[in-house]
Amino acid sequence: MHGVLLAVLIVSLDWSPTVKPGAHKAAPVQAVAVDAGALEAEVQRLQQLEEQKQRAAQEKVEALERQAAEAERKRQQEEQRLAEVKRKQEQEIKQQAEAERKRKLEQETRAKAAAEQKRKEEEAARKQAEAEQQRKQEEARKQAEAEQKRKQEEARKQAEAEQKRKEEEARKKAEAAAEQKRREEVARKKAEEELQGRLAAEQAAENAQRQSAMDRIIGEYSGWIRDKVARNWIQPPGSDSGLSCTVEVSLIPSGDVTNARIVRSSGNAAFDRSVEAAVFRASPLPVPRDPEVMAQFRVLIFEFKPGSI
Amino acid sequence: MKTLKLLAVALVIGWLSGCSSTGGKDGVSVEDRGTAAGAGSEGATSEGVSGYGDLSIEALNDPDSPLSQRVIYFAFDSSDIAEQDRALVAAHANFLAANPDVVVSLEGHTDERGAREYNIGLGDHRAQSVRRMLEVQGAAPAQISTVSYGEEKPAVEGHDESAWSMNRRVELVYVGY
Amino acid sequence: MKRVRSSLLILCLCLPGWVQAALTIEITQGVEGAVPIAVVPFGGSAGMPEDIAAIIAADLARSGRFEPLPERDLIGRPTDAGQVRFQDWRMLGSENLVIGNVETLGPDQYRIEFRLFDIFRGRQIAGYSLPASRDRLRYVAHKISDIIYEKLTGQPGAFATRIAYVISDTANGAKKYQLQLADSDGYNPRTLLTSEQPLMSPSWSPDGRRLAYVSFEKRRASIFVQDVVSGQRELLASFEGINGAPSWSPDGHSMALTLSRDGNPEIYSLNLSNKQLRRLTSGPAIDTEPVWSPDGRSIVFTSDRGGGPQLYRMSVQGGPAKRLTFEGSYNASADFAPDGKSLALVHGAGGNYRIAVLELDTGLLRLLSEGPLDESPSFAPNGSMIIFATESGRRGVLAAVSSDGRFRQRLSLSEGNVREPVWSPQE
Repeated sequence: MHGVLLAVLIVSLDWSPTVKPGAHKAAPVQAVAVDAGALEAEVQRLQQLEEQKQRAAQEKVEALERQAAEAERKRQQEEQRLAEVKRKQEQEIKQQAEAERKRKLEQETRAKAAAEQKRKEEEAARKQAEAEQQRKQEEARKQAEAEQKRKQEEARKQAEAEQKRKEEEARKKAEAAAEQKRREEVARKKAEEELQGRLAAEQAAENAQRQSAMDRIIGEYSGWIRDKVARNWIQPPGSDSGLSCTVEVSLIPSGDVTNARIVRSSGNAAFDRSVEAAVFRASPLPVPRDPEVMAQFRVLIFEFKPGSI
Repeated sequence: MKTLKLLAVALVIGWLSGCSSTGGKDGVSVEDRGTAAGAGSEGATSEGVSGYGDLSIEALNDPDSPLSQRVIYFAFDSSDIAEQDRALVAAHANFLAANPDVVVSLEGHTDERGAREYNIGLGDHRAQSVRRMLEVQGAAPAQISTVSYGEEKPAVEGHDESAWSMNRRVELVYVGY
Repeated sequence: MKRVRSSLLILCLCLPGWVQAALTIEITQGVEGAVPIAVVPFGGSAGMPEDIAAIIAADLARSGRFEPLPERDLIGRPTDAGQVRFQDWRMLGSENLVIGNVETLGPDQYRIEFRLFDIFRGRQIAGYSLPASRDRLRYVAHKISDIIYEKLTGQPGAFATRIAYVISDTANGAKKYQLQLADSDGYNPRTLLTSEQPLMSPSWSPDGRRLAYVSFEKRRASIFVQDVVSGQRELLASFEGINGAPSWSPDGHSMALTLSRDGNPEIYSLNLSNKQLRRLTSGPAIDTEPVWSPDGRSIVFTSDRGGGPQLYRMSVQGGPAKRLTFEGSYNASADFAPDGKSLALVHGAGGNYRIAVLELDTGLLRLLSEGPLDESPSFAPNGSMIIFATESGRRGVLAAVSSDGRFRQRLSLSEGNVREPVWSPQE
C-alpha cells in the first residue's frame, strides 16, 4: 500500500523541465481589455470566414474541374461529330461516284443507240437534204441576194439615218451641252455675284459697325480733349464779346502737341495767344491707342468761340 | 443845452408878452426892447422880459447866453434846419440884427461819408440854410459870410454814427470875438 | 455711300483754309484767372539798390492779368538765352518767361537787359537793353513791365506812370496836409506842396506836366495850378464861395470847375487862355465833380437834383442833363475810362460806399471793391486798373483793383492818411 501511493505521487509529479526564472525574458504583454463574447463572436466570424474561403476555394476547384470535364466532353463530342461528318462525306462521294458511273454508262448506251439511229436517219436525211439543200441553196441564194440587197439598202438607210440621227444627236447634245454650259455659267455667275453681294453686305455691315464704334470712340475722346483744353484756357478779360479763333493743332501718337497754327485769327493778339497757350498747356492730349482711330486725331481743328452755346 | 432852449422859449414868450404889454405892436424894433431888458436873463419870467435877454455885445461872451451855443447839427445828406434849432438861429439872428457891426462866418461841415467835393457842396448848402434863416430873422446879408469845409475839418475823428453826427454841422464863428 | 463721302470731301476742300476734313472741336468757355508767368531774378543783381525782377513781377501781378510764379517754384536762374531749357519751363505750366541781366557800367550807371520768351513755342518774343542811372532804376523796371504787358496783352502798360494824392497827418497837435507824387506802385514819393490847411481834388493836365488842386490856404477854397517839375504855382480861381473840383478838358484848353459864386454850387467851364467863364448848370441842386469825356464832347457830373447824389451827363455846352445812375441812393465821383465807354464811381447803398464801374451803353453797374468807406476812383491811362482810397485800420490808404474786379492790392505808402489818388496820363 505505501509503495503504491508513493508511485502514484511520483508519477503525478511534473517531470517536465522547469523554466528557470531569468533564463529568457518574455516580451511585456500589452494587456488589452477583451470582451469574451465579442472575442467568441470574432473567433466564430473568423472561423466562418475561413470556412467560407475554404468553401469558395473548394467550389472554385470543383467548378474548374467541371469546366474541364465539360470541355473534355465537348471535345470528345466534336471529335465524334467530325468523324461522323467525314464518314458521311466519304459515303456521299462514293454514292456520287457510283451514280456517275451509272449515268455515264447509261449515257454511253443511249449514245450508242442514238448514234445508230442517227446514222440511219442521217443516211436518209442526207439524201433528202441534199435535194433540199440544192433547192434551198438556190432559194437561199436568191433570198440571200435579195436579202442582202435589202439589207444593204436598209443598212445604208439605217446607216444614213443613224448617221443623221447621230449627227442630230450630236448636234443636240452639243447644243444641250452648250446650253447647259451657258446656264451653268449664268448660274455660276449669279452664285458668284450673290456671294460677292453677301460678302460685300457683310463687309459693309462690319464697316458700319466699326465705323459707328469708331465714331463713338472719336466722340468720347473729342469730349475729353475739349474738356482738358477748356480747363487750361485762361480767357482774357472781356473776351465774351463775339471773338473767335481757329487753331490747327498737330499731334503725335502720344498725344503731345507738336505744333499749333492759327488758321483764323480773332483779330485780338492777346486772345490768339491765350488759345495757343491753352492747347500747349493741355498737352499731352488724351488720344486713343488704336492706330487707326488715332489717325483721325493727328490733326485737330479747335474753334474757340466763347459765349456761343 | 436844454435849459438854454427853455430859456430861449421863455424869452420868446416873454418878448411876445412884452410886445402886447407895450402897445400890441408886433415886430417891435429890438432896440426898444434891448434897453428895457436889463441884465441877467436867467429864469423864465412871463412879463417884463425882452425875450432874448441881453443882446449886447457882452452877451457873446456870456456862457449863459443862448449865443454861446454856436453849432447847429444836421441829418445825413440834409441841409434842413431842425425844428428845435430854429429858436437858436433866431437868437443869433436877433443878436446880429441888434449889432449891425458884428459879422459872423458860417462854416458848413459834413461827416466823412461820400464824395469830398459833393460834401463841399453839402456843407455849403447847410451854411446857406442858416444864412437864409438868419437873414429872414433880421440879420443883414453883409454881416454873414459862408464857407464850406465839407468833410475836411471834422470836429470828432471816428468812423461811426456818434462821430458822424457831431460832424454834420454849421458853426457860427463871430469874427473877432 | 461712297459717292456721299467723296462729295463731302470735295465740299470740305472747297472751304477756305481747309486742307482736309480734320476733326473739329469747339471750345465755348475757358477759365478766369491770371496768366502764369515766370520772372527770374536778374543776373548781376547782388548789391543793387533795386530788385528789377521783383518790381516787374509786382507790376504784372498788380494788373490782375498775370500771376508770377513764386520764386521758390522757379526751376532755374537763367540770365542768358542760351541757359534756357524750354522743356523744363513747360512743365511749370507757365506761358512766358522773363530773364535779364544788370551790368554796372560805372558808379550809379547801369545797363539793364531783358528777354521775354514764349515757353510753349520756345522762342523769344522781345529783348531789350536799356540804360539806367541809379535814380531811374525803378522807372526803367516799370518801362520793362510796360513792354512785357503790351507784348502779351496787346494793350499798352501803365506801370511807368505816376499818381498824385493828398496826405493828411497830425504832427504835434497840428494838422499837416501834403500834395505828393509817387510811382504808380506807390514808391518814390515826392512832396509838391505842404500846407496847414486842407488840400483837395488834385487833377492832372492832359500832358502830365501840371496838377490843378483845391487849397484852403486862404481860409477858403481856391483852385491852383502847379507845374510838377518846376513847382511854379498859379492861382486859377478864387471866387466868392466854393471853388472846387477842377477838371481839365482833354485838349488842355479849358477847365471845368464848381463855383457857388451865384449862390449855389454849379458847374462852370473856364477858358484857360482868356479866363472866360461859362456856366453850365442851374437850379437849386448841388451840381459838382465835373469830368470831361475823352472825346471832349460831354461832361459827366454829380447832382442831387433827383433827391440824393447821382451821376448825370450833359453836353460841354451845358443844357439838359441825362441821368446815368439808377441803382442805389448815392452815386458820385465819376472818372472816365480812357476809352470813354465806362465810368468808375463811388456807389453808396445801405451805408456801404464801394467803387463800381458803370458801362455807359448797357447801364450795367459792376461793383469792384468791398467798402465800407471807399472813394475817389481814378482809371489807369490804359484802362486796366483803378486806383482808389480806402480805410485800413484807422488809416486812409490807397488800393488798386483791376478793372474787371479780379485782382485787388493795397499800395504801400507813407504814414498818414492818404486819399484822393489821381493817375497821371500816359507818359
